[in-house]
Amino acid sequence: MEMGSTPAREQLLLQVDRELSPREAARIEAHLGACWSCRARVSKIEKAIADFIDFDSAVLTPHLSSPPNGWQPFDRKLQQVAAKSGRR
Amino acid sequence: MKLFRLKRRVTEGCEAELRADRTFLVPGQETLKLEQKVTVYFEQWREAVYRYLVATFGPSALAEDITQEAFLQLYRCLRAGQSLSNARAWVFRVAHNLALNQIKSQQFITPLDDETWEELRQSYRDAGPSPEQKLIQQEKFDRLRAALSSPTPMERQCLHLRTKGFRYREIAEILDLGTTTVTETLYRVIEKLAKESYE
Repeated sequence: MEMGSTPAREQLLLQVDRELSPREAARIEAHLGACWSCRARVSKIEKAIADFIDFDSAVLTPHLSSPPNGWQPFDRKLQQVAAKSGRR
Repeated sequence: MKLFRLKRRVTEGCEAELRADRTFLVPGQETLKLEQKVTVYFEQWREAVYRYLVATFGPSALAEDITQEAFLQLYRCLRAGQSLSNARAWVFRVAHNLALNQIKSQQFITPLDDETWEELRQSYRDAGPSPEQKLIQQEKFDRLRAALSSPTPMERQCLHLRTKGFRYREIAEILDLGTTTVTETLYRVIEKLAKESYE
């Protein structure tokens, strides 16, 4: 198979994130079928994303500070805004 | 019951266009007030907006107020008859801009302080399935924490918005950037997380 030109590194991320046009995605996919080096780069990108998601769900999200007021004033504020809007 | 049906409908179609009318038609031709509709969106998206603010601008007492204000602005916008094609991205953009003006935490480095981090390390050490796995997990998290200390504010913002499920064009809209800049920024931060150069 013809390897074609090596894609730019950012294009590999776009491929992983399904952000390319179908035509461009097919070209990159064909290249990945032939090029071990680019496949290894894609693996590194996917591993970095997976590691960050693990870290985000196991560490960051559960331990970020909770809202100090427990969202309490929102209903009252919304009613005030609605009442003001209604008087216009 | 009406609220339950509306919540389900919002969950299924949060990307659907929000109509700017002041009532919301639900099955059975009943209507809900715009206030209820915005309350449903608030309950669904507030945690994600709040965590985005804390993770990218730093722990601030203002983050809760800003989150609420973004949804109040959503109400005002819809009440004024404006049409929004992507309400979730709109709310994030408003919250982001409010935070830029109000929080101004230029020194913010990481959402977890040293003390909290050390407690977490300890808990992972105690809870891991085997000594080897505990060590691997700890090393991985140490590496990630170090990597997360180095991103620029824009890198951190793009990373956390992508984690919330936004596509590149949506991130570009929220942060008022070009999609090429978003791509380059995300690539840089992924490279930092991987801690390996491809060269």
